[in-house]
Amino acid sequence: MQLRCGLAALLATLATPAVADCSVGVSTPGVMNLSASDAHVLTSAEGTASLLIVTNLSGLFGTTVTISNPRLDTYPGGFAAGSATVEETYSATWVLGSSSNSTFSSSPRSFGVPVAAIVTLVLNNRVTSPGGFKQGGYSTKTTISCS
Amino acid sequence: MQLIPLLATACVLALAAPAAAQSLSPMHNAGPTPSDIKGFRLAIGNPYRTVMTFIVLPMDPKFRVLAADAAINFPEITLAPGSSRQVILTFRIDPARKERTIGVCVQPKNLASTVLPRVCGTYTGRRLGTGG
Repeated sequence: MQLRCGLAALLATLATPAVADCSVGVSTPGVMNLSASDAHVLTSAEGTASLLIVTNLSGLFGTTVTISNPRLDTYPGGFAAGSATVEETYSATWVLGSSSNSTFSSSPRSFGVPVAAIVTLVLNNRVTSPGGFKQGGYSTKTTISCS
Repeated sequence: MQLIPLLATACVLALAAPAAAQSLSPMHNAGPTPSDIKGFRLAIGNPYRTVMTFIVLPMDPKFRVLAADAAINFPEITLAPGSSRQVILTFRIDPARKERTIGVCVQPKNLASTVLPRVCGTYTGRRLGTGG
């Protein structure tokens, strides 16, 4: 029972005034590095992006979190971005629940979250380029929608 | 007992202020209209610690493409930490149809991050006197 009271207090603290039905915040942007084992792969395995999603009590039917297909956002000039494959895995946890998919995929994914949850979502991206990577900076972009 | 570590984790994460965030309320609504125009009042909030500029986009119900014949009176708003502002969504309902659902997404403007966080909702307008 004490735990329930604690949880209720926590949620009450987090729930910003009446306007916050769902809030999405980026806690850690993530970093991609060239794979140590394969020069054709960029991976964020050691620098995953994490997000914090807060839903509150007014969402009676829960909340759907949709993870878009990831795309290559920045890359050096002359790099054949069209031949690169961008994929992603995710892991989401909240009190009394979780959702994850550890298979890399370039397709959108979604999962449902019950009423009043604080969700920690961790993304791990992978970019595969058959021709390898030119020297320069690369970054991916994933759209996270809370609806 | 397993809840305790989860709760502790949630507390720690909650205290770490995210770099960008937004909120939208309500996230779903529906209502009638006597004409072919329907409007909804929405609240956009910035619950975190930095000033944020948000873009408010009328979209299709799947949040994939921008919606035609739909507008937000303040499509770009800058909010102080912890503040909110109301905006008005208006959209046209085809006279040949009895209802239309519009999506609205709120997202940060010019966010340099690997993740683009969006909060989206759906709003349905029903034309009165169309048999149902």
